[in-house]
Amino acid sequence: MNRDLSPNRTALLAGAALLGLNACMTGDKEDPAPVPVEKAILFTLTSDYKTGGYSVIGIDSEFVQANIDPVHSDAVVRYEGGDDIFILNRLGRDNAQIIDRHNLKTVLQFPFEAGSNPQDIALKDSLLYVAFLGTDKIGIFHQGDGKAAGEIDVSAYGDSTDNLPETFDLQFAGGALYASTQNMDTKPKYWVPLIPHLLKIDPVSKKVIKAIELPYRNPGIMSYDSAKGMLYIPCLGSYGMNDGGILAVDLSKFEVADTVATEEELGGDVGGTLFHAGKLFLDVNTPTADKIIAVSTETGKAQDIAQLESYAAGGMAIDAKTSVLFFGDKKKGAARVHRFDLATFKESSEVDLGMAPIDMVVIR
Amino acid sequence: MPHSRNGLHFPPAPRPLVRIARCALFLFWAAAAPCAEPAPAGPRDTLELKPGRAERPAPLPTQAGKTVIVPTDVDRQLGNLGDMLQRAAGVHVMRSGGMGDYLGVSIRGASESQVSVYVDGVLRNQANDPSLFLGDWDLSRVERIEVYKGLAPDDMPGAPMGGAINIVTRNKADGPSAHAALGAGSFGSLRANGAVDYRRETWRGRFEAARNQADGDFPYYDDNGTEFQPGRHPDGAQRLGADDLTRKIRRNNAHAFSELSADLSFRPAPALEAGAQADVSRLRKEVPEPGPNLDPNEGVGAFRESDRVSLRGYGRWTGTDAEASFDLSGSRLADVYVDTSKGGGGVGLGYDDDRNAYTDLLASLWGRAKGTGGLTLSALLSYGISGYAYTDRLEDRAYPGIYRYTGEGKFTPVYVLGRHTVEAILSAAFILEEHYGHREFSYGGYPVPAEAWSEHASLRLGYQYRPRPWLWFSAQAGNAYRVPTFLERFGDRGAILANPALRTESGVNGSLGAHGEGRGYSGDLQAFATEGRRIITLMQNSQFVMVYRNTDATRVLGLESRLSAAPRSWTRTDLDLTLMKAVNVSGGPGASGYKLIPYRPVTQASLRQTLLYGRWTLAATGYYQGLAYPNASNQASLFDSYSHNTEWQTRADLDLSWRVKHLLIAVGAHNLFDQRLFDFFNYPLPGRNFSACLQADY
Repeated sequence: MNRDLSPNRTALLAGAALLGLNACMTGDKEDPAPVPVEKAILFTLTSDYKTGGYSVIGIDSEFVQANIDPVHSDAVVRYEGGDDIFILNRLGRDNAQIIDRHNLKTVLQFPFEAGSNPQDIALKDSLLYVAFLGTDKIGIFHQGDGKAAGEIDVSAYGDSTDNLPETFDLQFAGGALYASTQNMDTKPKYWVPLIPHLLKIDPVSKKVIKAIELPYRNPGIMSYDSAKGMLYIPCLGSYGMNDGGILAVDLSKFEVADTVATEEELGGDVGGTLFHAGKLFLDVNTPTADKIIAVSTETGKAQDIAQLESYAAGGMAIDAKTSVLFFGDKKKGAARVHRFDLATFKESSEVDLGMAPIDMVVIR
Repeated sequence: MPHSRNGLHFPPAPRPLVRIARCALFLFWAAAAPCAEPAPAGPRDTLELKPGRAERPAPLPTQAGKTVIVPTDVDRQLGNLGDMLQRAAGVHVMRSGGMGDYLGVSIRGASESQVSVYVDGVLRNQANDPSLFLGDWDLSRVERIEVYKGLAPDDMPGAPMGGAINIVTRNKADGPSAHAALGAGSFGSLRANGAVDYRRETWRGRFEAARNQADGDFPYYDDNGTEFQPGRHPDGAQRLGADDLTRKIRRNNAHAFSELSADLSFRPAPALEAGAQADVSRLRKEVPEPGPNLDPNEGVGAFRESDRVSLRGYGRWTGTDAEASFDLSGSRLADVYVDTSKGGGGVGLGYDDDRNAYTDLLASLWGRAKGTGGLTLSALLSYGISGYAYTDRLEDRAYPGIYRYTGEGKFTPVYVLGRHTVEAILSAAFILEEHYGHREFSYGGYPVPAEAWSEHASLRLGYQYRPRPWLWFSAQAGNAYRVPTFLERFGDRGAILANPALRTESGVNGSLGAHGEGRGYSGDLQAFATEGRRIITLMQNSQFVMVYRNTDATRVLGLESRLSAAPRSWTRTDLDLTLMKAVNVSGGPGASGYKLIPYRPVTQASLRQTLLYGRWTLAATGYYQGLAYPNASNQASLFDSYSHNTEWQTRADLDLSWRVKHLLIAVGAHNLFDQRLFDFFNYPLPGRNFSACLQADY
């Protein structure tokens, strides 16, 4: 039988074939082979600011699993112990994505108010407290299902131009929740830091019970020394101006006890801090370089660890058990996670995840 | 000047019998010859055409990948430029909405900035982003769209890396005539346009007016900020599917576009022609929330107003074995962006009042002469000035003007020997860029030199073998370059930092192709490969600060084909297919946005079926877009990092028209199955929508 293929039939067949070809052309997208997850891992977010993903690196082994699943290109990761790893997909996606540390899969995702721009998360009694730049509230959500469990009004600490306090960082200590507000004037194209506060909040009454004005502006990621009851707050001030410093707040008195070091002394803009063994680890940004340094909380003396290209620092994390500092380097074409032994004060290895690291936490 | 450059070449007014014969010829072409060369007054219901049957001799080797898209009258009244381009093989359109919104075009995997835009053969984006010249076209003014893949032809300035789009405006050839059209559609859409043509002896004039407006409050689908099923799923949550989305309404999205254009030409002798064109337009476009998941009632009060003026004068001489032309054009675009709102929470929008002014002048001289022994030579000399000035009206601050002066020469020998044709295009450009700041101009810590010189050269070679009149094979390859745009080099004084150190992109590309045609059928198959170096990519320094930087190399391999069939007088089918694959040429594991071609689908297809019955025409168009290179893990996702849809998607449009005497009545249903589409980052595209129009011709 002579069966002609009419043009229309040919077109349909071609369309069907196309679906198959598509699968062939994207054949490199197959799921990676399952790999047993190590007990101690460095959980890393990567991004090129268009796309993002998460990867894990074994701390006690050579285990690496890169680009496991996509996340927002602008995200941060937090770990508060337990099974849940918290990813905050920031402005544009505005949600929390919870990854199970055992299977590295997303087990829960729940949205925040659109445009709320979440920045930090803190956990207490199975309740998640979330700081937002884009609202004048601190949100409270159930860890189990992400449902709202109330909110804390911090509108009194916002400026009058945008009425937002820009809550940036959270820390639980001694049963109280401490929140830093950046209080930016978002009217100009370059945000102008106004007077920031550190708030002491009673999580039971959900009210701010005390607030102190910070002497330096634009507070960043805080770190807590539980032994001394001291909260360290790096304040960046204005970008490109050495007008900030690292503050030490005595939580027992709830007052600024000291300035650990000024930006003038450190030579650049201070980034978020990590506390370990009496030292603060942070990156200091200058127009020519990002310096990873350790600063003694006692003397304020700085010790150089590494020097990266300017704006190339891509997150830091410390494994207290092995005394290892991990820090990300976003250098184009050579993005790496570096492993630095704090005992010997030498770099021990580096890992290429295929994309630039932007934030990381140690899960142990 | 060649016929295809601006479509203004027209013969003397035909006598009635000749006109009847032409009409019959048009009908024959429309029904049986899908590969006809588009005539200046193209048949009203002709669809997309390709070089082919009527194009004798075959197109030059370097133009083997050229696609000519001729909208029908129904397309002109109900369609839009983005859809027209999306139909063509090898062309991918990225847009953030409708008229006045961002419209970028990628050809064969190139970045949108690597594609140059021409209007009637005049280069529009000398130093600016091509999307500035694509987003606000009312199709009623468009005669046809020529897509040159991989290069600009010998008579157009520039050597773009990613190809060229030439929009040819309407210019009927047949004596005095007039048309008027009125249309309405979903989302408060209204369109009205009309034109009158006057022709007498050696003079010819045309005046055209168009109005295009819409409320733009279209429904769309959103995930409300999450991409996984709600609730805790210990073994892993499933991603949302298309049916899990929420239907919302787009707000603050209206546009109003008005345009007047005039065209006057004089032909004192059959071989001589001179003319002038003028075009004035105004667009007001509200700018909606950047994220679809923002509260639709959020009060974002942003809008942009765009005023454009274009003037052009030209002259042409056509001899027996030679032709020559000159062209002088100028345009000015004043674009104001205002945001009076307080922004969407922490979105950071708001409090803007910027004025961007773009001025362009371009002069060109072109000639072609046929020599002995099958040799033809053509040469183009052009000189262009492109200026940009920016004023922050909120801070009452005017920034120094930036100018680019470009001198270019192009030399093209073509040698034909029997069935073989060899072509070369050699182009060289000298560019001076300078600013007129009183002091050293610096932005974001980067000092900008007062002046900077650069030189660029491009060489392309093409070969064609034509064993049969209906079959030819061609190959072409060459290098190309792209000078950074003003935006890329000088930033926007807002979120985008300047990077004066930005270097010119360079690349090589080539293609192999075959074309065959028979009675009522035609087919094209092209294999292409491109490699770009120092690709310019927008990189984010921090949450709100970005900068353009030269990044890694990109290599794209692909196949594209176009099949047209009209075996009977009542049916016609056009099928366009594209397959692409990006190759990691930078080394290293994994995939990054620098190495691959983010957001370009690896497969793409369009299928258009037209059925004709008497005076009725039914046209159905289907679009398919396969998986795109999406993210670090290269996993398809309905809502990717920036809410970019990297899953495959389809769309179907249906248009029905009835032509009686001088009237055309048409109705259309677009996105017929109400697919959940969005195309470019966060921006959703409309759901199902309807439109209708009435057009009267005289």
